[in-house]
Amino acid sequence: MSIKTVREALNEAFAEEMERDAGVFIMGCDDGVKGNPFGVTMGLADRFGLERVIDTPISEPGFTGMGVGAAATGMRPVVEIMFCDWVTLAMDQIVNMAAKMRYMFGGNVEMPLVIRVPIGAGGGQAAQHSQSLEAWFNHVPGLKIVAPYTPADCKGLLKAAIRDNNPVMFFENKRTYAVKGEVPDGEDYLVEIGKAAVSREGQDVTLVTYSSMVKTCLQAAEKLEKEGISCEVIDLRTLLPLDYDTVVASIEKTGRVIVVHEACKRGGMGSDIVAEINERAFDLLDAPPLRVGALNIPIPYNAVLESAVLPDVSDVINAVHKSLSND
Amino acid sequence: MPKYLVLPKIGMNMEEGVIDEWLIKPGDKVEKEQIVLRAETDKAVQDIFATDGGIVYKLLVHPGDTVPCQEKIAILLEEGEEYTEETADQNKASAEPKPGPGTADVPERKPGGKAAGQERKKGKVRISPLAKKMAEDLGIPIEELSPEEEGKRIVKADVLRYEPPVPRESSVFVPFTPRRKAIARHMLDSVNHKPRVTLVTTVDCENLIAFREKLKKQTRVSYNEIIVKACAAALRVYPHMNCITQEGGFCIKEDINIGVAVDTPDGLLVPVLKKADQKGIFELAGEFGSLTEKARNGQLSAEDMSGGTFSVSNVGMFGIESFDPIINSPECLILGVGCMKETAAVVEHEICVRTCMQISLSFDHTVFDGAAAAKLLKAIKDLLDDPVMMLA
Repeated sequence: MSIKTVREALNEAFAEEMERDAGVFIMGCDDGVKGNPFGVTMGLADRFGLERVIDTPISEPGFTGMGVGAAATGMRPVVEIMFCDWVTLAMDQIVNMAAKMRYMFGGNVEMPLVIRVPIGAGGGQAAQHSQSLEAWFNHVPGLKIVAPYTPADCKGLLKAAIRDNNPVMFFENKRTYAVKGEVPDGEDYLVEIGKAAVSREGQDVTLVTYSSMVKTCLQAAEKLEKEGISCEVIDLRTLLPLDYDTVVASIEKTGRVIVVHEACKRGGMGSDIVAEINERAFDLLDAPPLRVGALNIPIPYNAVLESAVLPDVSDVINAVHKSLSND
Repeated sequence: MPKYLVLPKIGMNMEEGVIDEWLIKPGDKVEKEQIVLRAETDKAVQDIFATDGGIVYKLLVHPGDTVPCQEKIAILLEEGEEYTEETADQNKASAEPKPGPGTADVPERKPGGKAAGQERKKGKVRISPLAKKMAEDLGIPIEELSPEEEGKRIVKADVLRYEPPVPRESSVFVPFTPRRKAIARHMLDSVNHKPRVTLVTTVDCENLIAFREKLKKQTRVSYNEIIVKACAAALRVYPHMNCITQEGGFCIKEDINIGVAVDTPDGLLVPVLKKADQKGIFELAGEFGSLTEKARNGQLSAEDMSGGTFSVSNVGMFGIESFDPIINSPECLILGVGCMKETAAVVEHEICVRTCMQISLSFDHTVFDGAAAAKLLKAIKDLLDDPVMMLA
């Protein structure tokens, strides 16, 4: 166990899996020589060679398609879309190829493909470099989606995703690369895909969240505790398949739930999670389930406007008050 | 600055009132001493006057509420004045001797339990799925649940704090109404302070019946009015017995005012026929008829029931033959009237059937002795045996 950043934890996961399995390789823009713009693949090319940490041309459909082909033919590629915004270009390869191939070939083809997709706004990257589009993939059968927050979960889930024989969309938030935390050592450390974690126990309201908003929710919970309101914070970690057992168990305790994410509120993960909660746990609800997300507009370049659009601690606190108001 | 109407104390014994009906509503202009409210006091449903004047802003009490005297019952404003909590606070600070903590808001009395329940049933019940499920599982009727604050959703916490009504037993505790409380106090006072002796005699009713038949041809007359008239006439013979007790003695009254016990749905009431000795039987009949009507409708005023010097209680209509009534303090005499009944009687050494009636006179032995009371009862009996003698 040692303290590492998310960046270091992901790098360590890569190194361990590439060491363990010669079929694991990385593809993406600037991943090789430069070690990725965020430093995630730093040093890996030196250690494993540019044949296994491949610098690609700026052609998301092209290298994503290469990843699909490599996975189908026995390799374990990890493709990186440098900014989530550009995953639009690779949609055909992801939605129609990667997600469907196992099914359409009657299980005769494995698809051990990981597509890393850094998401998130902050720092004035503007409308085409700030989006969190994870909810789109929730709509596509055949994919798995993970979106971890802590360094330990990032390591354990990336390793589990690489070992998984299905296509996994791996969403990491750019703003969290420097987040530090205890990370277990050793190549045997894995985090099971499809299991949520209770980040903070509470009695009054359940906050269901993932990725960067875990921190926001924990800060809100901290403040609310001073008002005598006890929040339970659930870090989903995996969005598909989603761990509704943990969510419902928490609602059974609190009767009130708020889903919080950075992505736009409309059509976001929260909409689907709330719908599912209504179907699975209607009789456990003491208040209507609420959603907190970004405003339904493009992310502005202007820093003041950007922060006004993104959900923050006060938005979460307001939602908790609303839930408890019984209005 | 807002002013308040308070419930005035309009009778010596009045401690509280049950609001019966408001005669004003918010927006109305009210003059001081205008009748604004009807309330049930220890005596009767009475008209309550305004303790101040202004424009009615808000009624603070509702029909069915029990309100102590001097409690605020409505907020008044000056014409054109706006109500704000600030002005209310100022008012409190200056006008109220005891501004306790947490009294910034004018406390509004909730309507009586029944009314609230009916009100809630009108609309859809707002209840969370969890609270609804819990209520069903626990067998709690949803309409018995209420949110912590009016207008909010009923939630789990509201189900948890629900207290079932006390299970129904074969006995039911009924708290005294102000009327009942007053009757109880009055009876105990009489029993505790007036050592009572009851004398009984029998009236031969043949003449009485014939007398009434004659009167009835003219107008509607009951035996009560004839009996009242006989009592008044007898008291004129013994005027010193027309008295009421007072601290340390008794007070002989000139007016012979005779109360007659009337049974009403809310309990016993005793309207008083004033100066009964000076009125004819027809006049007494008319007056008694209207007093009885008022008594049954709860409209008797305190004036209608005060000033009595002698009472009559007639339970003959129930077939009761004889009883010894409790004296209506501070009076000293009460006549109990039994039923008329065909009886074997001896007239001029012959046994024959006569219609007879027993009458009993309870007297306060602190004031009179048996002989005086016996003479009075004999006088009453003689007048009833032969009513024409009332003219004598």
